[in-house]
Amino acid sequence: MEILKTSALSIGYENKTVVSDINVTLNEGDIIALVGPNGAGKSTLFKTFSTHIKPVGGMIELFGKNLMSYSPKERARLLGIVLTERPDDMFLKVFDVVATGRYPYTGMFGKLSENDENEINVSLELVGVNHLIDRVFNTLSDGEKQKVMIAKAIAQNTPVIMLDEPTAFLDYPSKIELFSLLKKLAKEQKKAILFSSHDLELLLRYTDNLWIIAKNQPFACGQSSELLKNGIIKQYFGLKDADNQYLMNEIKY
Amino acid sequence: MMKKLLLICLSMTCIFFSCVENHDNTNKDSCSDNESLMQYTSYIDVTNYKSGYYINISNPWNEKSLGEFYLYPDSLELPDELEHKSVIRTPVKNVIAYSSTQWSVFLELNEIDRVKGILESNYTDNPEIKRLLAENKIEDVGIETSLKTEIVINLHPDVILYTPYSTVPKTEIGELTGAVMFPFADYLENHPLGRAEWLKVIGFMTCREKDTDEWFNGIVTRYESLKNICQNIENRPTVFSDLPFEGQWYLPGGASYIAQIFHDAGADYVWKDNNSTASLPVDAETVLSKARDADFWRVMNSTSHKFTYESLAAENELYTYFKAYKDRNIIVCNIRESGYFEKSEYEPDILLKDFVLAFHPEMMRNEDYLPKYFYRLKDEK
Amino acid sequence: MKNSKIVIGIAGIILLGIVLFVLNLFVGSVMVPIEDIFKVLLKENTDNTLSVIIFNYRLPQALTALLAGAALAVAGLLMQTLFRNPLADPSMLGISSGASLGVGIVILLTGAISGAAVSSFGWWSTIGVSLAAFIGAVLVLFVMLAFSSRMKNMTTLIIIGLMIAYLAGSITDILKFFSLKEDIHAFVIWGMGSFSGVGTSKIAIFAISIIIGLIAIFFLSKNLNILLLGEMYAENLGINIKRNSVIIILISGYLTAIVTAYCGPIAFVGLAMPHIARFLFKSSDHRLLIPATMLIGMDMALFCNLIARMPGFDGNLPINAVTAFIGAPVVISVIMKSKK
Repeated sequence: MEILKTSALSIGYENKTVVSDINVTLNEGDIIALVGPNGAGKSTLFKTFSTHIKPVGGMIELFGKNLMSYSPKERARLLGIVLTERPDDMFLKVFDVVATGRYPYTGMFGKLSENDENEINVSLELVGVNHLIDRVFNTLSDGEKQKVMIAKAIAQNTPVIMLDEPTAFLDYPSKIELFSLLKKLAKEQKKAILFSSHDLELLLRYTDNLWIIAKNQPFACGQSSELLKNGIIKQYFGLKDADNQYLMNEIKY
Repeated sequence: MMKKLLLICLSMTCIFFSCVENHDNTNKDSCSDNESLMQYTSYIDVTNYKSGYYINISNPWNEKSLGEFYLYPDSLELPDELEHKSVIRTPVKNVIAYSSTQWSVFLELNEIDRVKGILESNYTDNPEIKRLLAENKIEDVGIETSLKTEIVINLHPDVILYTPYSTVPKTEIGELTGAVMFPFADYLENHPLGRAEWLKVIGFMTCREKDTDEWFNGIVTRYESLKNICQNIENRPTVFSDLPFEGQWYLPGGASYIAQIFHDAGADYVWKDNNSTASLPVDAETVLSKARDADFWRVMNSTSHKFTYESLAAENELYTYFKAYKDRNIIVCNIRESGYFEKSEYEPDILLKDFVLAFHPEMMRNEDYLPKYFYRLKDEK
Repeated sequence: MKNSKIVIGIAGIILLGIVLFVLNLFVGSVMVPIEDIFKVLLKENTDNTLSVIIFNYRLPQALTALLAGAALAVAGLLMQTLFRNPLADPSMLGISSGASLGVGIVILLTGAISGAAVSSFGWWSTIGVSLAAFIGAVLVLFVMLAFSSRMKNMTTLIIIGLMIAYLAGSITDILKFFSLKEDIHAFVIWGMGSFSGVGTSKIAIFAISIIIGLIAIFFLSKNLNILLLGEMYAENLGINIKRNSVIIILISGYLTAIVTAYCGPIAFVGLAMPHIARFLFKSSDHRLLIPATMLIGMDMALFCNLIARMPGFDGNLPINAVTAFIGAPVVISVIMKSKK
């Protein structure tokens, strides 16, 4: 099922278009990695999808309706984000952070129902950090923080989840763990997941589809293995022949 | 040729001796015993010095003198020993006056043409001064915190009468102009007659001491006689003063100028036992508990807005609990309309009379006296 | 923190507030034997000096302190959450500076016009000063609202607020420079802050204005909680960032403007009280922090008012001096204790 679709989308800021002519779709159960060198426009694309900035041109459709035409409240129930930004409040607890995911469903004072509390517990369990529920968020490790933020997005119960650099600052095992978590979410919960990352090698191994943004190149998308085979990755990342060969061998394996 | 020279020399010496003789004749007596020429002041002392005067100005903050000055007639040769002293040659020619209490004496003596510059000119309502300002006969030279230095220099002052404070640093204006910086410390005097006596200083400077003596003696006579009558009055009403600001009263100290006038007018100031001359910050509840039953209440008003008993009650409901309020015994002065700051200093006898009328109307029954500064606020109803 | 502990904590703060409130009625620069106070309270003899002091002077003053303390403290909490800056306080919006400028114009400039200072503390002192402070504060508030409705970035908003504060401050300084010493004195007195300027005649309108603002804040608790995650997350969770910051600035600015108009620019309460609330309850949940901060602000203001009017002094100590003098050690000790 098609969830999110862009047509001739141009992103950027008022006086500067960063990337133009983006035509992609995001389907139920998709897990897509957004890659590209720094400064190419990954964050800009995230900000555009989360409506923090407006598209410069073109259109984004969410469930067949213009993304911008949803009210903030409606949008909050359809699209959840996880950013690199972390709350740094001194007393904010893990429970409080995940609870914010339920706020789009609560009343004026944000009082949590039994169902909300249940959703919070389930989300924490799903990412495997329910033992941290009473900890102060600020005292967690980077990996734990990342998981809690993902739990927040799960509690938000949106069909789309977008994660900006979720593997940054994580050690190798945590990265693997995170990828399998995302995969599980996509498969079991039927969510559409888009995330950005620098770990090309891991991405090729764990994700089916890639979107590639690079400076002065058209926006590219496709199956990871295809993009590798037809040399797009080599071209977009400026890889040497040996490195490209190495990646191709890795993927085969 | 020789004859001519001799003649000139002779006539010169004649003129010289005649001058010296003249002055010696007038000042000989007082010169010898060095008697003070000031009766009531605490912070200035004036004595005769040869053909001029010696002035010493002190202050309440420390033992150091604010300055020693010699006034010496311009027509005479300056004695050698005064060569390096602060000397003001009289009559003064170009004066810068910091405060209205200074220029108002020049005005009264018809010597205002000696005043070339004044400060804070926009604060005065005096029509004569306004006219002189408009005709550029007097220049506005700024305000105390920022003097228009270049204009002052251009006026070539020989004397600058300034108001001394404990904290304000001395300006460099004296050095720049070569003028004598004379601290006019009238405001420091806490006795009404002491403050008024400063008018004599302007008299010395303009060689009009005869007129200022006469003027001041008149004030003393009128003040003392009224005061003496009041001292024998048996029923002495009680009085307190001022309105609170931000919940706090700033009351005049028990040894202040106004406390002295209250006393001399035959009333007892509620804080008379306090011996401060400065204003006292006092909490409203303390004032209420001490002065609630006071008979009179003195209030100053600085705006064109008129006080009524209703407007006071609307301002602060606490006022209505005071006996003086209930009895309609509030004594008001509109600073602006009465020219209080400019004139009252040299009319302490009139100030006193205003208060005597308010405190003891029975004494004035036979007199058709209209108060000038302070009057009892009437109920408008 | 367990619910029962929270209840005990809140109850303790309320109890302390009641004790401080009663002490405010019983203690002042006029020393009164306690039995006399009870006589007054029981007899209802309304024209006795003691009863005037207690009911017409100390009572409105204690109520003013209580309301002003609650308003400033919670306004500080709002600012700290909105700007995600623990050093934010209501003065960051330039509102106190705007109020000061308004008062400066009235005291310093009209002093010049009327030919004499307010040093004689006349009519201007009450009506003019409050009104000028309010107008100055509201004008700055509108400027800030105009900026905040246009800007999503809170850091730039803080900088603009600080710049406006400096701008207003420098105009006030220029006014001061050209003013008579009596007028400057009056201005300095206003700047020291006081809870006794409201009085019986204005306490009702003051109380209603403050309470309206305080109630409105409870409706913000959910959005404030979300703001702790940062603007981008908050936006994603369905909050209209610009409208939200306009509302927060409007309410905290409104409370600050009213308190400043009646009591002068009171510092420190807005900055420090939210920290005490956070450290005491170890919480970031605004559904708890809002009432806790208000109550702690009340207690602190009542305590400071008590100290400022201790028997033995004839006059009131400036509230602004007392708030920091009493408050800073309290904040430090609360933080040190919770770190152990």
